Amino acid sequence: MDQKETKSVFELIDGLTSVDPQEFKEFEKAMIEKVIPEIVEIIDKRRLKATESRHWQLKRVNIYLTHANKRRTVEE
Amino acid sequence: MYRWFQLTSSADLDALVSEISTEYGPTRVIEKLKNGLSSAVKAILIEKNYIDKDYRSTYYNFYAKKGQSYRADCIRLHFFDEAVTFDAQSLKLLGHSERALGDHYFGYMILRPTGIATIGRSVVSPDVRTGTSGSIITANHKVHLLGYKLGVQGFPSMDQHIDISVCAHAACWSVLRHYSEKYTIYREFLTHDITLMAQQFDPGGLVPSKGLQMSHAERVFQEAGTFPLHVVRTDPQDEAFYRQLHAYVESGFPLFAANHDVGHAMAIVGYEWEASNPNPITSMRYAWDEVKSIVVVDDNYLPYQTINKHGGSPYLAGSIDSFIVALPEKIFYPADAVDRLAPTLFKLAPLLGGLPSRDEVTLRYFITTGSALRRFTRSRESEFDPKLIATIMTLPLAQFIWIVEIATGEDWAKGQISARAVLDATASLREITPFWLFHNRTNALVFDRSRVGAGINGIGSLGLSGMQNTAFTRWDQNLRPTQRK
Repeated sequence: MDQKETKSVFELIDGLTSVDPQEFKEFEKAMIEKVIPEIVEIIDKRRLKATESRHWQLKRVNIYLTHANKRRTVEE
Repeated sequence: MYRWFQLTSSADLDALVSEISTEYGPTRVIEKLKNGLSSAVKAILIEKNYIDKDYRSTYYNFYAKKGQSYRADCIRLHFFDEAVTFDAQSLKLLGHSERALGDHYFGYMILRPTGIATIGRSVVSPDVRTGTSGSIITANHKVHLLGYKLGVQGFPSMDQHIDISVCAHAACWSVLRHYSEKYTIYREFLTHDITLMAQQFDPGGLVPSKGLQMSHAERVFQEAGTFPLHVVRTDPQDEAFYRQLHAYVESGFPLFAANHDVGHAMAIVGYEWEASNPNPITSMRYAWDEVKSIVVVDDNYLPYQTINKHGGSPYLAGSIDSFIVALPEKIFYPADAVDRLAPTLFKLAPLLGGLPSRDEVTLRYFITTGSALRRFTRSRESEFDPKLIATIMTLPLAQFIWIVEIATGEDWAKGQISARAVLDATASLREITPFWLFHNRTNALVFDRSRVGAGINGIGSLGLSGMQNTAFTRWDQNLRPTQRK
């Protein structure tokens, strides 16, 4: 097997250094405690709204009559 | 069969009534053209006996079955500027070579012989639509006329038939015809196909005119081979709904949008930015906050109708309360997730050596492809540290990515940004680091997504140099800026 294929992405990029775990902590905490629960909640909420809206009727018909600025709206 | 119609002013359009028989509804068509076409259109070539595939699909399946006799052919109107003339004897378009003719051609409009709602398949350049400005999703549409192959950049539109199709069918058709012209993986669907795709069984001619439900529109897009995502506003204050509506349009996806209060549907195809605000930003803003108006293809009007966010007619952008975006497969991380995640990016500032304050920036996010990111980077090599370019070329990006751009007020006014994050559009909702890359002018965070659960060990830092004074351009790529004529 070609040895290059076994290299990880990080081995292929020159100059990478590791990051300080302490500096990552605040982001990780915000994601776990706030952002991900909010994402899950809004996705569920939208899913519910989408289910409710699936039967909305879309049928508006506008017919312009021959004279300018005179519009009749027909709703069946 | 061909008639050249010179225009010196819009009043000249009235004479079209003598050229077009009543079954094509000339009076209403003239009214629409007078109100909606700019004075850059100086000539119309009327092509009679035109066989239109979309009308024919409804003719064979509906009109031919009626007691009333309908014609089988249509009229096609072609719009030109003053640089083109027509020799009726030789049936030649004069003034330019075939290649250059396209620069003086503004598209076409088909008229159906149905008496009412006669405007059929049309592709008109947004450049000649009065009142339209901003950036618009377009595709190149080929037009064969008199042995010439012309092209027009535009978005397809048509009036609803009323009796066999309604506004929602027309909006579905517009979006799908754009897809079939723009992307080779999608096939073309005719008007009658759309009415059938909406139902589980053939509903017969008149049933579709009773209306279409959101679920039917969803079904049309699913049948067409896309993966429709149906997004509904949770309440009138749901700004995240409009932020993602704008994000999908920015990404080049026309939206099937609905206003359920009036039961109306249209396609959203573009937007216009507000003029730059001279006041400094004092609290975090999103790209949607910088939008002045959206542009819709609404079958009640000529295409590219401007819909303002604040004030104006015929309705406001805020009246749209749901949309369907016909996505390709493999976009699992939804806009709602990006919208919630984006403000949290500032907590990574210490790892990047600093970011502007959250309260001083505008956040913008959109979907694109990994190959588009590489192309964009390659086309702006001078803006980036070669190490960053090599990283972007090396990362095993998924096909689709989300981009989040962070711009200060000063950046925004100059069309630049301060930082860019690249997210994996195939990420799961519960991922802590759904990123490929996050960088500013001095540092980049690179994420190794080749292993699940790598945690902190899957994040690398890369110092960047030479970017402090280069342009760091905002990425505008999917929409075509209107050039008003």
